[in-house]
Amino acid sequence: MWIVRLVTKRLALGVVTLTALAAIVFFISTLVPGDPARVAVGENATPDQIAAARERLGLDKPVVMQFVMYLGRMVRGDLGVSISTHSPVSSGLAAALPTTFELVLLAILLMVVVALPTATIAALRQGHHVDTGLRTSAVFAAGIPTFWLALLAQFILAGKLQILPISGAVSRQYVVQHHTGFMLVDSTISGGLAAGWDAFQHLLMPASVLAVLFGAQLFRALRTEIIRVLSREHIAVARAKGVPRRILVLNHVLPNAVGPAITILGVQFGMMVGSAVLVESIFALPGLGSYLTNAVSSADINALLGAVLVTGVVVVLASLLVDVLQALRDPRVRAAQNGGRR
Amino acid sequence: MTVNQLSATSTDPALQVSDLCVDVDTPAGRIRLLDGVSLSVRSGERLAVVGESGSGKSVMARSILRLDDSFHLSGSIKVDGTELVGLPERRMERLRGSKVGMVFQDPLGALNPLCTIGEQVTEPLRVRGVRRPEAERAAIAILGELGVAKAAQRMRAYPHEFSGGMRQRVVLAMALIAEPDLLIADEPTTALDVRVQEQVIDLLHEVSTERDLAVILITHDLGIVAGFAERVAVMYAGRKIQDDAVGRLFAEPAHPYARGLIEAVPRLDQKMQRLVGIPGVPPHPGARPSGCAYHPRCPHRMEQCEVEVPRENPLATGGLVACHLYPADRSAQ
Amino acid sequence: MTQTATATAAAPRVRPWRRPLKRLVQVRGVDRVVGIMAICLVLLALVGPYLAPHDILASNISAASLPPGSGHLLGTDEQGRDVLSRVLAGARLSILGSMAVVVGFSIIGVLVAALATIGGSVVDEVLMRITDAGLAVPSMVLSLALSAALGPSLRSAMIAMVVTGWPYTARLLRTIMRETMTLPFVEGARILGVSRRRLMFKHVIPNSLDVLIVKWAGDVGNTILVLGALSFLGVGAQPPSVEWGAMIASAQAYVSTAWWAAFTPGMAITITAVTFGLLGESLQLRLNPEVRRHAARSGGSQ
Ligand SMILES: Nc1ncnc2c1ncn2[C@@H]1O[C@H](COP(=O)(O)OP(=O)(O)OP(=O)(O)O)[C@@H](O)[C@H]1O
Ligand SMILES: [Mg+2]
Repeated sequence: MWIVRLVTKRLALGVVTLTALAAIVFFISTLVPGDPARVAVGENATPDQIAAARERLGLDKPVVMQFVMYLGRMVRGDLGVSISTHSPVSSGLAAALPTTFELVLLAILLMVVVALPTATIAALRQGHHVDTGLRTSAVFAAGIPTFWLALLAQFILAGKLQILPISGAVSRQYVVQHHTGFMLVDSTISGGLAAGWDAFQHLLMPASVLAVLFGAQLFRALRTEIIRVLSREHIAVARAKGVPRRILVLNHVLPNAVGPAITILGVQFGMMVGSAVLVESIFALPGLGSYLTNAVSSADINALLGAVLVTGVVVVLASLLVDVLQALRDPRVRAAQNGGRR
Repeated sequence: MTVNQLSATSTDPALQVSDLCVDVDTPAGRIRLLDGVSLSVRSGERLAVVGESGSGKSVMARSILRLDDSFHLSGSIKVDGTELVGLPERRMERLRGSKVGMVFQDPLGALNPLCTIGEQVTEPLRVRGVRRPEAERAAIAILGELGVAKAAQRMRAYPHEFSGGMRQRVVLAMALIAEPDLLIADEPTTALDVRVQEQVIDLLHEVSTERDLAVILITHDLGIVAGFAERVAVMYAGRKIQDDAVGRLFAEPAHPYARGLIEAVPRLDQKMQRLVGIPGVPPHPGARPSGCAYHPRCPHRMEQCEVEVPRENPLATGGLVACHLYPADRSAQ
Repeated sequence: MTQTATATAAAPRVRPWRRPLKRLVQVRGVDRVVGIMAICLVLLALVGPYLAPHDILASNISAASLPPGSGHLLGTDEQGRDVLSRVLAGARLSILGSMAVVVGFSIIGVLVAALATIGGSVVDEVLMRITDAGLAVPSMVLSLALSAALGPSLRSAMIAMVVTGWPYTARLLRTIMRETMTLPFVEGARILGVSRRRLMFKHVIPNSLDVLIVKWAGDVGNTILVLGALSFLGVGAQPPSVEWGAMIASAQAYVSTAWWAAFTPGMAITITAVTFGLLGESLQLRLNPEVRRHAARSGGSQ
């Protein structure tokens, strides 16, 4: 089966990539000034405790051994202990990630919902006023700093117009119990649809802000590709068969044009996790971003490096998903998998 | 106008193009790709259209089906009595495929790589409301008829799993499944190797006679023309310059350009170069020479040729030619 | 118009920068405006601090948060400093800083791509895996980590951006260089025994320059956004140096009383990023024959 081959091959490659990433992270951790053993046990530890920590962390061994041990810890999910919260980094990240996912996924949904139709319209009306207008907007949208847009949106939409809540994940009145970590889900379970709606309203502005820059990039990629596909011969053939315009666009143009967009979304996913850092810190969402900004302010290197690795894993998984989607879309990709070559 | 009435027979023609002009807007301004082309095809007739690269053959083919939205058409295109110039797009959609089918040059590019053969061959019927099982039965039948072995199984295959010749059969099946009266084939064999070329042309011929299907075959290959067509239209620089029965055109080509084309044949056998036997290059549609567009290259050029566009006149032997060497025979009118 | 397009399409891609340079002088319309804007922004980055009408550092609480208008064209910030002056002065770090980062990671990217192209399959494979690893981390996250490891400063932010920026250049240029290696004149030179290194410097790298220049322009736009973001998070430019992102960060708490102090530097970032983004696009249409040909065919040249 193509999917088994594809997934195993991509996973194997992903492992290699992540090992390389781990090497980079390990290298960065050696740059940190100060004695990691001392840092690990805290300010006022006895020399004995420090020595014990040194041995436990393998700091007395050669660098290569240290790296192997480091890899071993990583595989077991042990990313060390956060200096600021004194709890394991892995559990801190696990608690933070769902919020970030929620934010990024809603943003991607918004991006696709806006970019796909507008790019289609712009491409079909290439050179007309609609196209020029949309393209110009996209050029500007792609240049707006996300953090600044977040501040402006917060100031205008929440501060002045009071359309949306100013910050936070859910209003105080709702007590949300932890079930899945996803606020939209948990709030709905705990407080019913009203609470879920409230959480959604809280998420809407951050997600929209995050969607602007990346949505503009997606729009441009989609528009270019739709135009390219429109000039292909099989589109003319389909028209010559009598296929009506709507079906032509939905069945022939778009499926062929979304390939590059899917790839771009895969790349953007990682970048959006990065930009979520900004948005979350401005809108006080308890996600990866807030975790990281806290870590930065307390120079919590374990938390930061852990986050680097975890986002690396997420990006590798996202690119695996992209490859599967491309194969589902395009029979030629599946055939290449079955042929065993790429 | 009179000219067209002359060539029309008692039955209504399958296609009647009169004085068709096609303009397109480019960054350098509006240019005329097709300049007053008139053409008619009887039902069941096989017409070949020849001419050097860039003479407007494809533009004409695509304009008949109005495939390019950027083309501005004027004049008249009548299919089965319906005027296509100015016809609402909705009605045009219904007409494409069911009245006029089209086959293109590149058989791989002509198929959507993401859809199965079955989906694509049944599509002309499906968009007209035919149910899937029925459409599939029709598709299997026509694929079989066109020589696709094990058609029922091949329905689930994708285009990349087909060879060039098989793909062209699939494309032909798509064009024919809604039973049009006219098929336009724009260089359907150029991308295929010689053996397969012959098969596809034979197939076209067969289908044409069996279904009483009118065919317009655009080609560079005069060998194919001789074996396939009954009548030939010669195009140059966006105009039709001669239109004659195939035997007469080959025996005594009237227009100097047609003569050049035919005399060029035996010298070179590479198919794309056959038509390059005439010295000089064809003009770009944005820079069409005044008068007869062929005059800068014409060995029989006269003063008149540089100023006056020759009208299409009937020849004494039959057929039509647009050349000042053959002035209108007034007694014929 | 059509003539130049076909001429370029037919010409081989040798020494691609000579003709384009000539062509750039003849630029008209939107592209010309964009070009002039970009030049102005670079000039501003060079002389900006000297244009500031007011002292950019001295705070003056009595003149805090003045709205735009008399005396202070764009108002004052929460410490009473003139916003216009600080935006002008901030151009230096924001723009020159970003350009330095782009130059830095482009050099690394070109070297990695060149090594991967001529170094044989093992070298290529290893380099590409490292590149993949670099692509797998969002630059923002890695930058935060690096900045925290090296201590927050503009310098560590710039190092972080160089470290996270090169993989994209390397990937793109590797593809271009591989293509170049298969061009007839390069292949011919190789058969004639020209050494790989010489081939690289004589043909392959020069032939990639047009792509690189196009990428530079776009990269400067993006890098300004990232640098601003890092400074905003406090791991980039540190006070008292003046940088647009840092200005927004310090004005953040006062948005409701003095929105202009955050608005203006953000506008400056947007204008700069958009300008360099547009510059990248019009350079692409002009320098890259492949894209030019495509644009000419699809009819819409702008
Ligand atoms: N959309 C368009 N815009 C501008 N010019 C066009 C367009 N389509 C075709 N042309 C021009 O019209 C002329 C005729 O083109 P056409 O494709 O009809 O030639 P052809 O006779 O089919 O040639 P070939 O034998 O090479 O297929 C060419 O010079 C072409 O450049
Ligand atoms: Mg053609």
